[in-house]
This record gives sequence, C-alpha cells and structure tokens, in this order.
Amino acid sequence: MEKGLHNEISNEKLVSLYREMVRVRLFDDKMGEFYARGLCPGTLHLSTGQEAVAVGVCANLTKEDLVTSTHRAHAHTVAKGTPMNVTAAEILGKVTGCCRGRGGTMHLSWPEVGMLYSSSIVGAGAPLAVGAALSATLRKTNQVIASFFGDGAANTGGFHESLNLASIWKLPVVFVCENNLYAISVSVKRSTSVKDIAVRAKAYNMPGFAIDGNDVIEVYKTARIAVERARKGEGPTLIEAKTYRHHGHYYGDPGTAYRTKEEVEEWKKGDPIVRHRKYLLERTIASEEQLNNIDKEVEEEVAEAEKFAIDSEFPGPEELERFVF
Amino acid sequence: MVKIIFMPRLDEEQEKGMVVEWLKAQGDFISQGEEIVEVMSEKVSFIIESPLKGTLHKIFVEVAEEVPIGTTIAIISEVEDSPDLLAKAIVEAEEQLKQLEIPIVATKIEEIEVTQKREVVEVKPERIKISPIAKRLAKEHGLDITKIEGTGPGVRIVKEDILRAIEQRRVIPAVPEEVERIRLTGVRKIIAERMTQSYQTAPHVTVMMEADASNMAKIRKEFEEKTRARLSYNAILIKAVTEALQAYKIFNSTIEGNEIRIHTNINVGLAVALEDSGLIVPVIPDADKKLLKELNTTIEDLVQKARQKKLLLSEVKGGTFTISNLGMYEIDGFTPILTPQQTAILGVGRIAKKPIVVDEDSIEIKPMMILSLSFDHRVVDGALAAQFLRHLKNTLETFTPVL
Amino acid sequence: MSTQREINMAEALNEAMREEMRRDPTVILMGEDVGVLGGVYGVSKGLLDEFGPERVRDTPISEDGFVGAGIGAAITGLNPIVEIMYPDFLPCAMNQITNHMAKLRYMTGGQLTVPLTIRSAIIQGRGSGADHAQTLIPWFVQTPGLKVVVPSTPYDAKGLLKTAIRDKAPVMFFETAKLYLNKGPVPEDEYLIPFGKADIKREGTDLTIVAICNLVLEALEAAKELEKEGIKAEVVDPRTLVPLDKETIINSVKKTNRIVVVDNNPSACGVAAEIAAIVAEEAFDYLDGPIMRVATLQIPEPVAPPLIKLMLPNKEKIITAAKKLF
Repeated sequence: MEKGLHNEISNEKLVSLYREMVRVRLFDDKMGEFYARGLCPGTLHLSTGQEAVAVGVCANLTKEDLVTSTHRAHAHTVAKGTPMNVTAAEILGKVTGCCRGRGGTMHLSWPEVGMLYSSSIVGAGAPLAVGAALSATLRKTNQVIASFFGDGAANTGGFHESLNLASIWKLPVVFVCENNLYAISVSVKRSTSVKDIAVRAKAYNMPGFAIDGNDVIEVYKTARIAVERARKGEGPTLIEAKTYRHHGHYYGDPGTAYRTKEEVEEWKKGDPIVRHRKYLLERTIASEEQLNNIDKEVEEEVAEAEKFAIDSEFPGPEELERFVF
Repeated sequence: MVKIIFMPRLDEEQEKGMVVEWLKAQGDFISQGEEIVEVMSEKVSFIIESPLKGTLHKIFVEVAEEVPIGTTIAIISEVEDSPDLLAKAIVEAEEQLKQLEIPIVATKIEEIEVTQKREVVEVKPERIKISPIAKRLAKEHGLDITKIEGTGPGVRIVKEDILRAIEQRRVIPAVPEEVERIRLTGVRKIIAERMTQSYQTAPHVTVMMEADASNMAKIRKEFEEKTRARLSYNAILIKAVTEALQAYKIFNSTIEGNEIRIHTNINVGLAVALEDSGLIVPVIPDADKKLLKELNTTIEDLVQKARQKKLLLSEVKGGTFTISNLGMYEIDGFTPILTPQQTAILGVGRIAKKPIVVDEDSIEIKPMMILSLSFDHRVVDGALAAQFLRHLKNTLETFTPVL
Repeated sequence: MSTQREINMAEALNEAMREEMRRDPTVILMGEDVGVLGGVYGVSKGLLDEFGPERVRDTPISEDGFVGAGIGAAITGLNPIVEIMYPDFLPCAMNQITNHMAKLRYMTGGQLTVPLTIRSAIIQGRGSGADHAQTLIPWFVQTPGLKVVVPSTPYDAKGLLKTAIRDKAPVMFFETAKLYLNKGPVPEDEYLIPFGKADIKREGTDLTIVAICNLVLEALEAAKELEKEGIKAEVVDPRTLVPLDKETIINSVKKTNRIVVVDNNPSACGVAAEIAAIVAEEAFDYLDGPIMRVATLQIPEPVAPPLIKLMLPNKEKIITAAKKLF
C-alpha cells in the first residue's frame, strides 16, 4: 500500500502495530520452543507469517468488542489483549491458564478483554460470532464482533449460513478470512470455486475486500472501514486477507509435501514484520534503536510469561468435574 | 509348586505382623490374584493375594495371632505338587512355629490332603436359579436354597418362595433371639483396647470455648485466591495448635510413672474416620515447622492414604497431640478421649452462623465454632487448660499464617 | 389456592415461554416458523405479537447457523430458546450442539455459560418416514454438559420449561407432538419443577415401570390392565434424563423387586439400557427377576401403519414384558 495512506494513521499507531506483531511473533516462537521441549499437550498451530491480519484487525477494536478465533488461535488471543502469561499457561494445560487447563492451544478464551472463544472446528466460529452480534444488537451494547477463520472454513455450510444470517439481520460482524492458501495440505486452488473468497460477499449482499494480508497497514485500514460500518449499524463485511504460514499446518509439519521450498521462501521474503519495520525506518517514523527497544521489551514480556507458565501447577483432581454444567 | 505365604513386612520398622482375617478357608481352591488373608502391622492392614492358582493347602497362623516377619502363615499347593515336597514344607513351617512357641493350628484334613490332593476333582454343583433378592433374603435368614422349590418363571426361586419358607420356619418352636454377632478384630479391636486403656488410666476433663471462625475463612479465601487450590480448615487448625503448644509446652507431653516428659517435637495427629467404621490417626511430624501449604498437602495425602488403608506404620506413630474434627458431621461440641501417651486432645465442632452480642448492645451474625479440649488432669489443671484454649482461640481469630 | 383449570400441553408450553419472556427481557425465541406462523403446532402462537420481531425471530433454514447463533447469544448475555422443528433436524446442528453448546463452559474453565434451551417436537409413529420419526435423545444424554428434559403432561411441560429457561446450563427439551392436544390440570399460579426429580405417576407394590414422554401414558394404560390381573404396577416418570433421579427409581425397585423400562429409542445404548444398567449396579440384590426393556426395534421407522405398530413400544408390549416377571 504505497499510496501514502499511512498519513491518515498516526505515527504512534504505526509503531504500535509493529509492537503488536512482534508480540505475536515472539510469543508463538516461545510456544514452538515449548512444544519442542515436550511441554505442550496435544498439537500446536503457529501463526508465524500471518501476524499482520490479527494485529491489523484487532487494532481497530475496543476492549468491549469481541473476537472469535480458530484452531490457530494464539495470534488473535494475544492481539486482542489477553495477557501472555495466562495464554502460555493455558497452552501448557496449567490451572492458572485462561481456561484453567481445560482448553489448551486451540480453545483460548478470555472474555474480559473480548477474546470470546476460539473453536477448533473449522468454520464453527462464525455462527457464534453471529449470535454474539445478535446479542450485542438486542442488548444495545454497540459492540462489534470480529470473526476470524481460514480459507478452509469458507467452504463450510456454517460459513455460508452465518453470512446470510448476519446479512438479513444486519448484524455488526466483521468476517475475516485469513487465506493462507492451504487447508492443511489442500491448496485453495483445488478446493475453492472462486479466486477471491471475498467475492462471496456479493452473494450475501455485503461488501467484500480481497487484500494483501501481509501488509499490516492495508489490513488496518480495511478493517477500519468494516468496523465503522458495523458500529453504525450498517451490517457485516467480509475481508479476505491473503497471507501465508511460514511453518507447516502444525508444529513439526515441514509443510513441504504440498508446497515447494521456492514458494515458501518467496513468501518469507514478504514477512509482514520485516516489511513493516522497513516501512517505519525508511520514513523515519521510528528509529532503529526504538524498534530494537521494542523487540527487547517484548522479549522480556515473553520471558515473564514463560516463567509464569512453567512455574504454574497442573489442575488438581478437584478441578476435574467442575464447570460441567 | 509349593508356595509359602509369609507374614510380610509392611513397614521398615515393623517386626511382627498379625493375621486379621482369613478370607479363604483351608482346602479352598483359589485363583491367581485372589485375596487370601488380611494381615496388619500396628495399624496398617494389607491383603495378601494368591501368587498362583492352586489350593490353600494349610493355614498355620490363626486370626489375631502375631508372628515375626517372614514366618510361614500358609502354604498354597498346585495340583501337580509332589506329596513329599508338600510334607517337607509343612514340617519346616511347623518347626519354625515351634521355635516361636506358638501353638500349631490343628487341622482335620491335613493328612488326607497330602495324599489325596491329586485325585480331587472339581465338581461344579448344579446351578440353582434364584433371583438376587431371593438369594440375599435366604442368606440373611440362614435358609438352605437347595431345599427350596422355585415357583418363578423357569422355576427360578423368587422372593415369594423365600418369604414362604421363612413363614414356614416360624411355625417351628421358638428359637432364641437372633443376635448379629460382630467379632472384634483388626482396627476395631485395637481401638477398643486403646480407648479403654486411656479412659481408665487418665482422669479426663474437657473444657470448651467458642471461637469466631471468620479469620479462618479469610485465610482460606486468600490461600485459594493465591493458589487456586482448596485449603482444608484442619491445616489452619493444626497451624494454630502448634503455636499454642509452643506457648504452653506442657500440653505436648507424656506422663510416665512419676515423670512428665515434655516433647521437643510437635507431631500432630489427625483423627480420620474410615468408611467401614473404625478410625485411624495419621500423624503430621514437626507440624510446627511446616508452612500452611505443606500442612495442607500433607493432610490431603495422609487422609487419602488412610481411607485407602495405605498408611505406613511410620505415618501413624509418634504423635504428641491429637485433633479430632467432627465438624462435617454437624457436631457442635464433644468430649474426646485422649490418645494414649498424650496429654491433650482437641475436639473441633462445626462452624455455624450464630447471633453474637458485640459492643455490649448490638448483635452480629458470625460463623462460630466450639473447641473442646480434653486433658489429663494428672498433668495439668483446669485453669491452665483454659489459658491454653484461650490462646488457641485468640490465635485462630487473629493470626495470619504464612501461606 | 389456585383453581384447577385444564389446558393442553401446547398451551402450557406457550404460557411457560410467555411468562418467562415477560419476566426476563433477555429471553428470546428463534427457529423456523416460530414467529408469523406461531410454530407449526401453534406452540409459540401470539408471542411475536406480544414481544415483537426482535425477540421472536423466524430464521432461515440454517440449523447449524442459528443454533450456533443461539450459543453465541447465550454466552454474551442473552437467554435464548431455539426451536428445532423435529429432532430429526438436530443432526444439522449437531456440531454446534455437541462441540459448543455442551462444552463451552467446561472448556473455558467456567468463564462462559450457555443458558440456551433447545426445544424440539418428536413426531415418532406418524408415518412420515424414518427421517421424521426419531427422538435421538440418547445422543444428548451421552454428551456431557447437556441437560435433557422429557415431559409427559401439560403440568410437567410448563414447570420444566420454565426451569429450563432459567437454568444457566444448556438444556435439550423434548416435546412430543402427539401430546400437544392432551389436556391436564395446570394451575394458574406460577410454579417451577426442579430438574432431577422423578414423578411417581401411579403407585404400586409389585412392579416398577419407568417410561418417558408419551410412553408414560402407555405405561399407565398397561398398569390399569395389569391391575385386573392382580399386579399392582408403579409408574415412574423420570421427567429429566440429565440429571436423572436414580434414587426414586431405585427406591421403587427396592419396593417392587421388578422393573420394566420403556424407551422411545432403539434399545442399543439407549435410555432404557442406561436405567437398566443403573438398577443392575445399584439395586441388584433387590431384583426378583431380570430387568426388562421395551424399546423401539433397531430399525429405521417404516411408513406402513401395521409395521410402525410392530416397531414402537406400546401398552401391549409393556404388559407382555411385565408378565414375564411373574
């Protein structure tokens, strides 16, 4: 987005977008390390390379606004403001985790900052977002609900039902498709009838935007349009942010059985954090030193979360049957 | 293979063990893993399972007899065992027992067993169809079901048939009152002995005082907020008791002849009721040196072990003071009996909300709890006991223990 | 003292929703044809007029979508009732029910609650074919986190639905369409019926019959017939399957020593199977004969009326099973 659009965004905001992306990246790196050390129960899906989408969208949301997420949930959870320590502890299954060690990496929730829930069933989060938006409308809370999902989800019935419901009821939902081009191993080219998933918005009588999901400024500005529309009661929007995961589907999946090394390398060159850092430096919006300081501060934040998570206890047997009803 | 069943070592310090109950009779056929006998050290009981499939050939040690660790208490034989080997094993075991001067249990069938074992063929009795409730009633009334005719579907013996049989038996001249007899064995027997001994030797006096439990609730809440774990009130009580014992050391003592020995260690026992009746008192050693958190996990661990009957002897020995908490049974106050060798025992009642007069003329609702302290009047007097109890009350109401 | 008026079950359910919607502005109703039409059986008649289109919503045919939306609304402060016309359509929303509705509270460590009630009307035995005939109740009993309600009378239906709407846990509420027009005493004064409390619909000493939904009425008819032959049957209606009032069932068995369990589901792993297992485990020593199950056959429901009769439990089959115990 080389159109000087950043002029409409304050320098402070542009720097904070950088910080948030670094937070997501370094947090995920730490979780990858946890997994490699054998500390994580279950599997682990990392967002490395996709940070701009979660950060660009969440930067437009208030604390009261809600987010539904997916099996690849860390980015949205951190970007929405969930403390890293409870997130990390949850991923390790500790009792101090946001879900007291019951949800884990794929089911993060911290409603007090609007991180409503992440559903690991592909496509199943959208109906929840529609319901939350209906609730917000009836209770007149003026909240906006951002529902993140992947390209795979865009082919589920729940997705289509949700777009239709949100449209007929004019609900304040921003549907954000993180199109990372692969549903596990199946390329979007082989699974999806349209080149741009965003065109499906038309079928449900709402605006659709297909954008560069690795350009955090473009994501931020597009999401702003969608959030403002929702806030004004003008109904839902579909944003398709094209992006790429540097890792495979899960931690440990090399991701090369279905993607060429060249393709992966090509996308890595467009790393959203590297791009945004360059953008800030070239336009002297921030100095090298300033950005290095941010990196260092985030490292410390991650280190504290690590300590908290490792030092925490697993839930005791008394936790087992709590909260069934 | 002839298999010797020894009196096992259940605890490092144990020297002798007692047979609590034979779960199989001499001559019974047993499968591998089947429970044969319950044995115990002082307070810890353990069930020995059969290591192989065979016959409980001979029992050497009767119920309630104590023998040293390693003594042969029974022999299990397999069908293919040679009579010579069996006879040799029996002789060896008997020799061993003779040296202990323990009478050998006579057995009527041993001679035949040794020689005829090989020919014993398992005969499966014809299965009698009987409904579960009929079977139970027959057992309760001592009826022989082989003599009862079934009138239910498929000639099943049903409840009605048993009721009829009971009715018919009633016609027979009056039988003496049927009394259910429970033999005093194992833990029950030990409790009976120890309680009698304590009650008859130590002149007991009990003093009671009511304490405000608000502070305890506060401690618990704070603990739970910080650790997200449940804190047992017993942990708080033990903490407070250790502080009171430090202030009034005489309550942490043993009277022996003309001497009172004051203990330097504070080892607090906590009475735990067992499900199948009975009581066991695991001991928290050096309770005064433990943080609340440690006390809490120690209690949890000991109580669980107690209920599963897995306590080691070392975990029930050496108590210097006992707490018995009947709060969960909605008891207000009671007069606990001293644990032998101890000078005092604290009985804890339930926490109940009560209207309490404060500032002379206003009433507040507060969670209150009655503390009952029984003590040995040979060692201390009422006034001192009252001071001890008041100290304990004040501690409970005001202290802020390190979590 | 309330007057003992009689109304039918559809009216009782309508009253329950109306009273709760008046009491609590966060209660909303969503589903296919629940608004303008007032429900295909008229159960929600008049609610749109009284509460308006915001709170009484006709939905498109998107069960996955609007059940999911009901859950989303429930976790964010509303107290929705979602109607799924027939249980046969519940599978369309099964992902949302089993993965979200039942588990969100547990999976978020108690942070979210799902005060959602799903109502659905069983149309078993009507001859509409196998995909308009199932209850699927065991699916939900098997899913931890859901409460399951199975009323048989207008009185129970009203009191239990009000409790369901107020319950913070998710509730599956199974109505039986053929009972909608059955009348029964329902007090004018407000009342609630707690979950987990069975109702002894008829007392007896010789045999316990446990039945749910419309089969409670079949069991009562069977009990009348059995009495002519000197067998006094007790009819127990559990009313809720989760939580299940085991105590009442077991106490009844302790008294009668015989039990027949009647189920509107296939016998394999069904409601009757579960109750039979509980009795076998917890009241074995009180049994004077085998535990009998009268369930539907393990086949899809046919359309031909004589075949339906063979497939479903009824008064005659209950009597046959009962007599095997004497």
